[in-house]
Amino acid sequence: MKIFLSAILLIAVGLPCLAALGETVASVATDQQKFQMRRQIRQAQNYSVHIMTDDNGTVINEFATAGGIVFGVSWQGPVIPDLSQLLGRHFGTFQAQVLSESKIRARRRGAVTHNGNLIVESGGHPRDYRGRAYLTDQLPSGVTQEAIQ
Amino acid sequence: MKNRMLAGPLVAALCTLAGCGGGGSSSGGGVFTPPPVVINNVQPVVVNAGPSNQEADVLYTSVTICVPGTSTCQTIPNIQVDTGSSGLRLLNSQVTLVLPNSTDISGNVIGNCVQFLDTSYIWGPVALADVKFADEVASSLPVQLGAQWGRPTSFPAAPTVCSSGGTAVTTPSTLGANGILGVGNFIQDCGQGCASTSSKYYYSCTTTACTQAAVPVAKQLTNPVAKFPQDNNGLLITLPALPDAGQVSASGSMIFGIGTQTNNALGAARVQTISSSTGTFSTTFSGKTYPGSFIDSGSNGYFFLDAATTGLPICSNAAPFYCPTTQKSFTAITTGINSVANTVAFNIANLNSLPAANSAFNNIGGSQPNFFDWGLPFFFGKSVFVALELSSTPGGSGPYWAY
Repeated sequence: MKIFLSAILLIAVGLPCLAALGETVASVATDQQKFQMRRQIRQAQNYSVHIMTDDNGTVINEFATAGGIVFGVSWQGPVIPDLSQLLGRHFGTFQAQVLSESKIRARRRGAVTHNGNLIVESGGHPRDYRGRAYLTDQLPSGVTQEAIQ
Repeated sequence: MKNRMLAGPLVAALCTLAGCGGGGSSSGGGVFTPPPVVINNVQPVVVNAGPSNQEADVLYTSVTICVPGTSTCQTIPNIQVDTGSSGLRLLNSQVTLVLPNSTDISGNVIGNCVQFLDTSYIWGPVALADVKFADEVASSLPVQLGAQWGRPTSFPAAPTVCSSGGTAVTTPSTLGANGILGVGNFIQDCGQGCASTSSKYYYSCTTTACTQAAVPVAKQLTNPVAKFPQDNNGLLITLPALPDAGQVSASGSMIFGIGTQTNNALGAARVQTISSSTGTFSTTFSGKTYPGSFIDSGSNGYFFLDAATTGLPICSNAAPFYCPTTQKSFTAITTGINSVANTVAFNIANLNSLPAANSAFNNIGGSQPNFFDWGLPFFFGKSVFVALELSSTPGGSGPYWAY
């Protein structure tokens, strides 16, 4: 029943199906619903941070430009968040690159990929995974990747 | 749990009473005190090219598993030793025994999932086995049978919450090992978080489908060391120092217990406690401190920071490994939650310049922005102690690292 109602709600308010990175700030609500997290919003000088938390100690931050485009995401928590949701249409690019990198002598490590404007840095170990992803061509003026923590 | 917490001080006390070598002794009240049982607590480990014949800096051991309570056993080689996780995962294709499934309160088989950072995952049922290393036995240990596709019984495919768009690890060549032995600081792979709510780790499985479920800690994948009757407060891993060019292989030992026998005393090792929730400590490099650092024998390099911060170029053919033109030397300071610090000196060589025939290196590494992952190269030339959470040792309570 609860699931059924949620589906109707999604249609009613017209949430975008694609998740956040590179999408409009409205897509953050899709992630929030999918991940079942609480959300608060913090305003920085020329961008906003949507801070999502849950009871398991997971924190996901989504960074949006004043124009309403999500230019970066970061995460920390006991499990790796569903990156296919969080990276949205960029997940395939990330996955293809990380899987195509030679496994010879590079067996296990964090997944750090640079692919055009897409940077993904996923690391950590069980009980403490950390990472971030951002689009270099979407960073607001004067904002560096240091802001995406 | 209670036994494990008592084991350290109890043995220490008995050593004083019985001189650590004699038979039983009679204390003042005429109560017979049993002697500390000295058993073989040394499990050989080796770094070599592994089953694929092309690995670098992967630490292997073998494991003997038995149908619980029986002498029906099998020994599986090439199990990766991983201080970054907890619990034993075996690729089911390597398991010839028919092990009993572990079931939940509804009688459904418990399913387990682990996701890796490259988006791959291992999925399969939890089974019970007596698990042996040297003379140490963890009885009826919950272990994961990874990639059980239809043998000996069918098992549902991974739910999407586990696969998350990734690819399943199903073969030794994909994993680089026949299984993963998690001997990190934690007792379970997930712990209390997965006992109180459903998670990505655990599932309740009928013959046709699996759904996420909370699973009590006693039924979660468990670090075998925690289930040994003795020498169960931790372990140490000792590996030889290496030349800059590396070696074809390097042999060492995994010794169970901390301060429980004559071969596992802390000695001069400095105890650095870690976060009991995340297992992390801080690393300071060039004046900046990075929390969230950890030691992981399952990472095959020093993974730290980025090219801009370290001045090390990334290999054009093997990102994110570093490929400096000549070997570079660094120092960093690790600091435990207890403020005890160690200065760590390490080198990074060019991955492409190292002899292709060698598989053990103390000087390979790559990029991992914002923290330090002290991987297997860190272990060479050291004895590294891993104290389990909630344990009691001569160096204090776990969880901690000491070296």
